[in-house]
Amino acid sequence: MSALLKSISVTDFRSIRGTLSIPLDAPVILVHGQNGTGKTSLLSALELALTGKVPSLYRSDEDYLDHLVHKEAVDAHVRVTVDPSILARADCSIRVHRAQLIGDALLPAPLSAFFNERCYLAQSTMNRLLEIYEGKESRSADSALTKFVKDLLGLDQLDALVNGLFEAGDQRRLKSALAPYKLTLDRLAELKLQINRLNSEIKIADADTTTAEQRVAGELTRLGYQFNQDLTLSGMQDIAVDPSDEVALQQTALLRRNVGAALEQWSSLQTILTGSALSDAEFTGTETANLLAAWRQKEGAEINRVFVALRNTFSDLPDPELVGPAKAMNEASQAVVKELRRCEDLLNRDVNTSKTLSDLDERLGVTRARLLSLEQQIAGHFEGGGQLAQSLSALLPHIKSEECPVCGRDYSEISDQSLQSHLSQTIASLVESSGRLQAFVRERTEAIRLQSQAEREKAELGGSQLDVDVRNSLSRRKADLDELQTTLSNLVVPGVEGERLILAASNAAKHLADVRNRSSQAATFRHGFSEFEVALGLHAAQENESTDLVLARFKATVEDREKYLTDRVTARSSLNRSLKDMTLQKARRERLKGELSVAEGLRVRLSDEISDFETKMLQARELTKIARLVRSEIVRKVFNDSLNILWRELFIRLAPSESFVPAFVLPEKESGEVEAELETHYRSGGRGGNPRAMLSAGNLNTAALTLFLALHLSVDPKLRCLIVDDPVQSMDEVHIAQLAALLRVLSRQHDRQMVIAVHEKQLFDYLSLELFPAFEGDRLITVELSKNAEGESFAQHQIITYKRDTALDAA
Amino acid sequence: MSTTTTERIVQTLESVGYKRVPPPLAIAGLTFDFQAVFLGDERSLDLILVADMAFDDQRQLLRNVEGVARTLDVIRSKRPITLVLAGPKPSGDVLEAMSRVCRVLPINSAKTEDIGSAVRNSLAVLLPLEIPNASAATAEPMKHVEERSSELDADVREVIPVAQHGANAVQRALHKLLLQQLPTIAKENER
Repeated sequence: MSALLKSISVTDFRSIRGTLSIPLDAPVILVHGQNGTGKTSLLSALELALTGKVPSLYRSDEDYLDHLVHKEAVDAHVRVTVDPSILARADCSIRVHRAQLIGDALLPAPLSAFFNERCYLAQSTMNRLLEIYEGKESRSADSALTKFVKDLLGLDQLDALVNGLFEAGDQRRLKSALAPYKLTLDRLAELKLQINRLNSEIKIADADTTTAEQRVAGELTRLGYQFNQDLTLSGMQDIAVDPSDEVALQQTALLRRNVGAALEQWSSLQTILTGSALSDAEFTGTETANLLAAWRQKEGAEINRVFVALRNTFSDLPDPELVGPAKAMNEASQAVVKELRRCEDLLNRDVNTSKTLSDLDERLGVTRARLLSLEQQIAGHFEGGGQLAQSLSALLPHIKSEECPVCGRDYSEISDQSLQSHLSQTIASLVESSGRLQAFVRERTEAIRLQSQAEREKAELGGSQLDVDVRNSLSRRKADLDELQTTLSNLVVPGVEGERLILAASNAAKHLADVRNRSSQAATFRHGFSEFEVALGLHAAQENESTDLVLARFKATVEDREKYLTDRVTARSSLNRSLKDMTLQKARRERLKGELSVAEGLRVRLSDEISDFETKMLQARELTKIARLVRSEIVRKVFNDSLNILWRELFIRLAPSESFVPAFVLPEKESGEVEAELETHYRSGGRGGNPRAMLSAGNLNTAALTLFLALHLSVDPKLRCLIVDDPVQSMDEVHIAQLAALLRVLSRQHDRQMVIAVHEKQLFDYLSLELFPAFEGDRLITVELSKNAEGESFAQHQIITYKRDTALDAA
Repeated sequence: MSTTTTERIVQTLESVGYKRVPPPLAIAGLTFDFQAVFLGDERSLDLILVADMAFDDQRQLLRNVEGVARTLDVIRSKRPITLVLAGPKPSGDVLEAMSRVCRVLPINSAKTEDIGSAVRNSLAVLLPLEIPNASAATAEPMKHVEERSSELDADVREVIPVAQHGANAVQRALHKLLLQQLPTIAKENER
């Protein structure tokens, strides 16, 4: 069989100063060195190169990377070569620089973990191995032992089952994981509340229905019916809406009104017909008629005469006989006053016109005289003066001397005045004359206008002046009207009196007619009684029964009947309401019952579902339990049949005289978690205490070492190598001899390549002897580590090959 | 069949392939007398000397053992010597002296253990190491689960094979199984 590890080269790594190059191509490599020569550093370097980390250092120092490089060096190097037929690679080189690793480790992750945990036993780890595997170190899910068991057994499916069903173990977990579960439970709680509420509502509805039914029964009794099973709802409704009472009530009301009217009529007849009403009326009628006739003969005739006279002038006056004397006279008086005013106006205006005309004549005379004078003035002025003055002015500049430019004569001959001033004076005189002439002309024009205006006014007024005949006629008419007015005013009082008399006579006549009419009605009044008697079903009135008593009887009867019918109508409408209410209450009750049955149905369904759900949940829990049980059984079996046996076997090999052997005990646990306790057993059977109490320091060490080996041997050997750093600290010689034998068995029987570092020379020698190559191809490499005075590390190695031993050939 | 401790030792060693050397043991012309002598197989250089303290004087035995060791040293043999001691243990100083030249395996026959296991335990280092097959116990764990869960409903048991797809798949199967029991709410949720 070929060794996995081929060689290692380490430079400036931890306590190693300088470079160590060591061959590893042998089944067994024994490394010896005094303490401090770099044994542990060498093995750590090997672990680092293979796995990229050094967990044994990490456990005591999390910053171990800071201290991997030798304190006097800058970089550390590790190079390891391996058998490429076992691993995919042949070598690897790692440089450590300032706590940084440069280069890839040889082993892939799973193998790396396997090496760290199952192949390499560092000294520091061995000291704590029991603690580690007792699970005292961490409370986390996967303790070292659990991890071992998982590696060993591969119980992934069981774990998956247990972990996958985890939620079934607890309702709260399920509630949060499965919303519908929580919803259903919530829903059930709601339904319970709803059902309680519906039940109490139904109780209320029942009571309400009963109340409504009692009311219906009461109304029916009032109407003379019995409330029982035979009465259907529609039958009761028919009773409620039966219109007969209503009709009867209307008829009775009409009767009551008629009786009331009869009473009223009777009472009014009685008031009018008391005493001597008729004779009084007749007397008054006659008296008023006489007074009116007297008035007509005297004042009325006078008034008529006046009106005949008035009609000559005012043809459209009303007739006093028709409209009443007062009114007619009032109108006539107004007409007279109006005509009188017209006549006066005309006469006054004519007087004014005559006066204006005489004024106009006077003004015309003055105007004519002024015109004459103005004509004379105008004639005295030279008419073209203005024009001449202009022409002469044009001459002025031409007069340079006394010689006239017109006639050529010398002006000085005729005057002392200069020609020029003469001409200027002439012009000035002409201009003045011309101005005055214009003023006169304007005056004349104005005088002519005034004259013609006065003449026009005179002509106009002259047309409107009254003729003498006309004026006289008007004067006469005015006098006539004055007289009439006086007459009329004298007749106002008799007119009013006449009017009063006419009204009084008319009223008296009307009253008399009325009295006469009523007394004829009273005579026939009792004829109408038979109608009431038939309608009210009463006996006929006796002749001697007074009308008052009969009517009172009618009234009482009709009122009783009306009250009775009103009661019944009220009862029917009340029954109708009560029936509606009852129907409503019953419908409400039915609706509530319907809701209740829906809610109950849903509750039953949901309860069934929850029950199914919980059954499955419990079964899932049961399944988890089974899986855990199976797991725990398997683990227990493995511990008892495999790990403990192997551990015991190994321990006994190394400590044959120890009467206790260590073992893991798995307490019976429902949870099925792998939690083992360390115990010792008497070799002859029976339990001892915890190894730490029961074993000597040396044998405790042995227990740890053998546990490591047992764990290593129990699992599938992914890497067939064992690296053990100084396994014997305080083992006595017996142990050393046994260890040597055991290592040999591991190497030769179980094909493990082994690197063993020891600090004891005796053990080193002994192991060298024990592991001496025993057959063809067997090899042993021994390495001696040391340091020189400068502190540089040295390694002397020896590769020992097989040589046939002939010592016992004779035997 | 009652056997002596020595016979039991011989039987045990022979049974695992050690070769018995006929007495006396001769090395480089010298002879040494032991109850029995064994040599390892072709892959081992073991020389096993068996002595019975009931017959052998402890000083004489020490001298014999030291003689063998010295002789082998002289001829530069690398054979490791194991001395198996039946009977009462020699005195401390003798035992210590013996241990300096060889591996000493006393048989604790006087203890409560029966003679067979006492021999086996004492000779353990010389015997091959048998590693129990751990994986035998774990054969088809899911089958055990299946068998034990026969009383559970079929749909619950259907979850078991899902375990091969991992815990999440199991959880999903559990959820599905449980939710199937609540169709009403599921239907309401659909709406």
